[in-house]
Amino acid sequence: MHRETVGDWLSLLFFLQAAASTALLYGAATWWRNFASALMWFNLVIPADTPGVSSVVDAIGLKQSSCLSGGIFFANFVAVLITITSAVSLRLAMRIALAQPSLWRRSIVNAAEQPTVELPRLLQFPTPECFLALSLGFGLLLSSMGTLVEGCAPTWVQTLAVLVLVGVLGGALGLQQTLERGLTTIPVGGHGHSLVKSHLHIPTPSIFTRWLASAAEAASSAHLVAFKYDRHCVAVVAGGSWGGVLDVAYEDANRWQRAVFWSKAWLGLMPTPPPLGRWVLPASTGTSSAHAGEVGEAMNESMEELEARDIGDVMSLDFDVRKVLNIAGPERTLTLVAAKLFRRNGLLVVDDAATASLLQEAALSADSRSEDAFKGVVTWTTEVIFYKWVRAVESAYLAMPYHNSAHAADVMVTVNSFLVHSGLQPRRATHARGSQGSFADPNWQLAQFSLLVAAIVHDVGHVGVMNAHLKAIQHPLTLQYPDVPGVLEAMHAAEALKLMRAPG
Amino acid sequence: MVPGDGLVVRQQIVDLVLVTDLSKQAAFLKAWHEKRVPPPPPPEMAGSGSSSLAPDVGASIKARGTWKLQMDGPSEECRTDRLMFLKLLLKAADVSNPTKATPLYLFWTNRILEEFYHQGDEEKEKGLALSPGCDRFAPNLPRGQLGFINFVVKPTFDAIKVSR
Repeated sequence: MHRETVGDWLSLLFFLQAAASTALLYGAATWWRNFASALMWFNLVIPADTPGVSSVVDAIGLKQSSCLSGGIFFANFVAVLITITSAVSLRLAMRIALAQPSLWRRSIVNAAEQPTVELPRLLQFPTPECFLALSLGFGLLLSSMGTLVEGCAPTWVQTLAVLVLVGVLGGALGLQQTLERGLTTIPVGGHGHSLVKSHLHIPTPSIFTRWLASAAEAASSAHLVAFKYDRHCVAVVAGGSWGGVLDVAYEDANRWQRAVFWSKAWLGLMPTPPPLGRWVLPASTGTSSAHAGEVGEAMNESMEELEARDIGDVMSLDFDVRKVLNIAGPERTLTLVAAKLFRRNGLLVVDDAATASLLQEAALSADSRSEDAFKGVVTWTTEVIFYKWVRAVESAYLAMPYHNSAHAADVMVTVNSFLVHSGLQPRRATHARGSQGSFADPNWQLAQFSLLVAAIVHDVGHVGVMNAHLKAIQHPLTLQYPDVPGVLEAMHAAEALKLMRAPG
Repeated sequence: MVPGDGLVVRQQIVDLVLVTDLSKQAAFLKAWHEKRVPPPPPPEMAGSGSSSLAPDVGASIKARGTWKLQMDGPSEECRTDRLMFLKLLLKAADVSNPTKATPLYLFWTNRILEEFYHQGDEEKEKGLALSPGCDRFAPNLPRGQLGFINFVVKPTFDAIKVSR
């Protein structure tokens, strides 16, 4: 299926869902109204004062005249049930359809100028429109309940008011839910891991126009572009027919900042982004040392979490990266394994806050290439800087089945264990302070450092196909790196250099 | 460490990443084996081997006279040889899955197959010729892995083995 077709098909489904819900609602109500009339007729045939019948009627507290109202109440109840069921089942159907990896796959590969773009999660449940349907249904229930009470006949205005009130409340709840759940991921396809990464938030209340468009667009567009507004906010912009801010991602932003960004995006106040942006990680922007301290603490917490569980010896050839993968998930595996390994190898300054902060300041200042900043490899790899860097690398890896960040972690551990087994690297590295590495020879220190870093970045941004295939389909990467036999490898090296320049 | 080391590290990283291209495997291994000198006759080995090699080659890398690798110094040649050794290690680690414990090996194999099949699906849709091993409907894992092990993994690990 062509991707435009997929988009049309998706939006058609959305509209069908809305139409079907409405039709069902009114259809069911009419049917039950007729049925209620039949009940009244029944009531005429069997008089209400018949023993038994009258007791039942009295027991429920219904008057004969409210039989009709009771019927409408029940009709509305059934209609709400039908609405919910249809919404859920259609949502599930779409979820299953969209979980076909081939549909997503194409979007990612085609978005080659932006291989790191992340698709929004369309398939959250409950979705905003489900909340709206639910709340409208409850509004109907509430208003029809009024007619049950003898002597209370709500006017149309009152009914409408109840509907609007409940609808607004439900919509707000839906919005809040969507914002809160923005950090969840959904598993896509048969990979057993999530293809769609986290922290993208859907601008919620543009429910029946922009949201539908964005959903269809997100599934179909080949021109999804991540555009960085400032250090908190990254917007995903769709090319194609709709061509607006599709989604807004927040990094290190609090709830209030999120709300501001979201409102701006919704109101169309975001500046028009350039046609092609680049996903820029906040790590590459200058950050305060206070922020760096937070990052360091985050790392320490993660490391402690790892220490608490048995993940095996990171210096050993038998190290099983799946254990970390199970604990930390695909988005932190490389970061944690790398941090652990570099610590063990004494390539990071540990337990020396004064030195660390001094080096951080030096490296975070504008001229990090100054002579003082190159006192040693450690300079470049103080805990925090290293952590931020490796985190940036990890998020630059795509969620491919094989060529992902876990593969990088695996290769890094393996190559390090080669060093250990060859006797080049002592198994029990001294817990190094200052610039004292494990190797006595500084030349080997540099070599080891290069080797481990190269292992970390060696497949960064891999798009999951072979070089020959890239050429066959004239992938944009082949235009970016013409006349290079290993297009992917050239890209990996270039990406690695870019990432290195950013935080260091 | 001197300020210039940053550039060295940078260049080494680039070279290391570039060498993971499997199509350059044969050329690299050829260059690696050319580093080897034919074993000198036994009487001379004691003299020349110990005098020329022993001071340069680290005790940890046991060159044993057959490898002309000088990896322990700061000079340009040492750096080149060292880098070559690192390249070999990285290449080996990159293809080391078949050398791991079987469950881990299969874990990675299933994942790379998934990627291959995706590529195969795409090729089918675009009407391109299917790359070997990429056809979801004609799986032949053993054959693919045998080829991979015999032509990629084994030569690499053999190169490491004889370098000791």
